[in-house]
Amino acid sequence: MTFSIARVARPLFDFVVGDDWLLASGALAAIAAAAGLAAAGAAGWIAAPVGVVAALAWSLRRATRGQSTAGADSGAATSIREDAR
Amino acid sequence: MSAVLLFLASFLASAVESVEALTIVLAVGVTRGWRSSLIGVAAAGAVLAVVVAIVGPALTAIPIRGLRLVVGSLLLLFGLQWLRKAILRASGHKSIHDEEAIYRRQAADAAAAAGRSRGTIDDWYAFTIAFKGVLLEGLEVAFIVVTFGSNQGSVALAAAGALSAVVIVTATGIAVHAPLARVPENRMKLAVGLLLTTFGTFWAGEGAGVGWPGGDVAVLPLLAVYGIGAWLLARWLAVGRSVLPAGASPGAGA
Repeated sequence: MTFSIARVARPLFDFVVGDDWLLASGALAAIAAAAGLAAAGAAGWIAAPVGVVAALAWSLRRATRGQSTAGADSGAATSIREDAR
Repeated sequence: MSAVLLFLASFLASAVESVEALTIVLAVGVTRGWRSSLIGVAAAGAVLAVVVAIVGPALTAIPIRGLRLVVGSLLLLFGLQWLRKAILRASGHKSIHDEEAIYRRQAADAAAAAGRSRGTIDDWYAFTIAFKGVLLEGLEVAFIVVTFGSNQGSVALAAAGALSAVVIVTATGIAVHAPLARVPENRMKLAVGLLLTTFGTFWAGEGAGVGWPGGDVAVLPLLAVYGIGAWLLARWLAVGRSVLPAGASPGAGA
């Protein structure tokens, strides 16, 4: 049963979240922060695009950091893999 | 304005995925024969149509605020995946998608694979490769059509955008009888990523209770912010690098 759930859950996770789960977490955290600020009466909408761009920049930095060193093969660098998308 | 962007996003996403699916189907069809390949394409098309027909109406039954939060978040995650890869390609950290190279590789694999029949399918290899190729490329488009369409209250318009792209790409592929290598795939992927990220942020925010200044018009400055952000990130990452051709190793240096 566990094996069957894993077989379904893994591709679904990859499909929705993609190569970098930290990017997905950061983006959702940005939306949550915007909602929290809005609920507190502040201009929470600013937090959404700022947080999303920051999460994207961080993800890209992590993904490319290993490539700047010849022969380096960091976990982030290996996440850059050829795929159809 | 939103209807135009809805159509554009579905059209561009579908065009990119159709080009990639066309490469796979062409390689298998030319190498192994068309009958089993086209049955695979038809079977995958039928599965995708069922997915859209079932999931689309089901989503519209969800209350709008919950729908926007869930679907907006999913579109945001999806859009960021497209955007991230497009920026990595534009900045030379990931090789550019080369349909001709992929076609040659697929055709070589297809030529080397053993043939066997199963049921009414003469060539099971050709059937499964065409089926999986179209289904996997199409699932993303189906997802975009149902989520984008249901949020805008027009799954039909989103589906029309996607189908238009499929027809144009297929007709062009039949006419030239070769993979569509000249389509600016990375720019199209960047555009789709920007649109999905923009609408995903907007809808997820609305669903979470965020009030956007100017209401729906906020989509345009949001799109501009993400566009400028993507351009700056690509420039930042591209310092000292050149765009990688297909098959090149990203770790090979500046």
